[in-house]
Amino acid sequence: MENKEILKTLNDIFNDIFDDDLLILTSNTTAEDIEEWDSLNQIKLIIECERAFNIRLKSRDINILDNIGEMVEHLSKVIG
Amino acid sequence: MSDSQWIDQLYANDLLSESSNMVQKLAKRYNRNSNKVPQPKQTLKVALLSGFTIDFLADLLPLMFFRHGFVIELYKGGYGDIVSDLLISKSKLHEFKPDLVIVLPTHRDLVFFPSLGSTHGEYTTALQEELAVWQSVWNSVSIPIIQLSFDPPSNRPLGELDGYVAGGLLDYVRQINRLLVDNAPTHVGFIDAEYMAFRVGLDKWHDPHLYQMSKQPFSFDVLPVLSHTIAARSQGMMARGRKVLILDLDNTLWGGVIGDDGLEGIVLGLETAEGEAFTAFQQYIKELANRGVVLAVCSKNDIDIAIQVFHHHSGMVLHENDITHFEVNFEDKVTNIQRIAKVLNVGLDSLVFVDDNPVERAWVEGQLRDVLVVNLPNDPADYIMALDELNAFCVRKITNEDLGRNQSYQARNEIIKLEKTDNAMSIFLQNLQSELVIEQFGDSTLDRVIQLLGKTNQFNLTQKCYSIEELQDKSVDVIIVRLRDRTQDYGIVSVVVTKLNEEYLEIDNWVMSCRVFSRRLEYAIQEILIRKSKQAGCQFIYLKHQVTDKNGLLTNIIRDIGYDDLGSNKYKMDVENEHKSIDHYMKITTELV
Repeated sequence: MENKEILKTLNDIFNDIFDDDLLILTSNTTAEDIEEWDSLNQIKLIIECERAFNIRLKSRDINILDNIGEMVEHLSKVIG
Repeated sequence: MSDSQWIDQLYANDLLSESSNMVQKLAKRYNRNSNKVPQPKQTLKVALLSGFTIDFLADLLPLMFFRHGFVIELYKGGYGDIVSDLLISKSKLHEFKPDLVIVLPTHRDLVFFPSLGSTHGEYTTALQEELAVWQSVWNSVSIPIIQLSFDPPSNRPLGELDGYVAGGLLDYVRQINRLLVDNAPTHVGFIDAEYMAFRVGLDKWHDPHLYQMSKQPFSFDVLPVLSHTIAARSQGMMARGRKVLILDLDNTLWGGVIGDDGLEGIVLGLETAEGEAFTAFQQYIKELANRGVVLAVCSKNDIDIAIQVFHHHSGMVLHENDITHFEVNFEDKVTNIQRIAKVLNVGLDSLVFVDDNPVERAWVEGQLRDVLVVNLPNDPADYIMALDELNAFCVRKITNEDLGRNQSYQARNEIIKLEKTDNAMSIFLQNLQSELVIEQFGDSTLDRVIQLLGKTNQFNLTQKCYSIEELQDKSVDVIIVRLRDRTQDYGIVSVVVTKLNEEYLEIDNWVMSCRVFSRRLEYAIQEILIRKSKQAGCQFIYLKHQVTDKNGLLTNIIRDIGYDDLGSNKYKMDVENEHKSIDHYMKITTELV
């Protein structure tokens, strides 16, 4: 799966969880940019990514990522 | 989702079949924008206590309570703090002053689980100690508590023996659940976690991955049904569960159209596969009727033709006299449903409507939002579960009054027919040989008294509800009235809460079940009130009528039984004056304990 595709799917997940269709992710987007991105939504994000990409993630790995770009890289690696 | 779309979704009858994600999203919308939606009048302060992370569940509760007629204010207990929050009298929980406490433990909260090889004595002691913890929790408050029973564990180290021998956790869960339910006081109601876990599937109930990340023990998929069940159970505990099931006929109670296919042509009975599905559905409905759900029929048909099925078809489980009221004609179903509500003297929020026709369903749903419309699937084999999973007829407890309910509505229908001629009415009432029995306030009557005060809509003077403690207070005298006649015992049908002051008797609330309207029972009860007032040396009785859109009928009744209107809905009676009263033909007796 190409990174562009991953970003698009990730964007859909964000739109859904934060109930905001206008939310557009870039590689530089961080948790600071999205007001409701708290620890609970973080868990939802992980679960939804697992479902969408059919993978298992470790919260430890996700919590140290700095921005969406790194998240896409990480997902790409896990998807293989 | 646009505004109108998500607002429609709030009322959607098939919400539980949506994905958990969708329900969570809808709930968040509702939480942010509840001001855009007409809010129910009933508000409830709910405390949620649990041994696990409840935030995701808590997000869904306002929506699910809204769907059950409540606006809630929510208190979330600290993680893992069930017992201490309740037991410490100065805790934040008690400061919050909840109307209802929801307690959600899991099998991880069991403390005395005995090890493998324990003696019978050790095993019994463990169970008793476990029970004692919960008894102290229950006794710390007198408001309703809804408790999730202990859920079955995900694994069984003892294999097939795990559920049946001492030292098996599944066995211990089963035993303690039974023991808790058997020993719970009347203000505690349970949600059956064992049933829910096997209903959703144990693999879905448990989510070890999510638990490790978030300390939520079950998957997101469980949240909609769990939150729905909590709200339904709460509605039942607050005595506001639905009471009436309205049934369509063609393709709902039998397959085919009686008007076209005739008695021989419709599909019903054990002879055919499809006919069996309809018979099973009727069987289920019959079980509902047996536990006190009132049945009515609303169908576009010719009554003379439709009733033939009830009279002559061998596959019918339901009989004509199981149905309290028929609206069988070619009028609009909304009008017919409103008429049923009127005849049975219940609010629209007491009704559940079942119809195979999606157009009729959509019409009723759009026009009468308070009516619960069941989303009947295409296959009649699935009808039962569609109705069952809604949990619409929750009650605190099944009372003797529930068991005789359908009969008493039928008696009432007879009275409505007779009311047209005064003279016939008097003769009829006389023939009934009614007896009014004044019951004592105590354990055996408590449940019914609280149920009646909580769920009566029409004959409800002030809408005031009471805690057990308030009713036991010395300044309060509760008059509990049972009615029986030649045909049956109606159980406790009226409650008057009075307060005695030095010079006058004050009626704090008075409720009467609509099943016994038009029996002149109010005249007989007024006679008791006058007697009480005189005994206490009070010259006056005062009452205030708190008018709502449902209890308007009381304005006439209060005057009819002899009160003087003081204006602003206040009334007074001078018990020394002679009162013109019509004969109620009732014998008044007092039940002695």
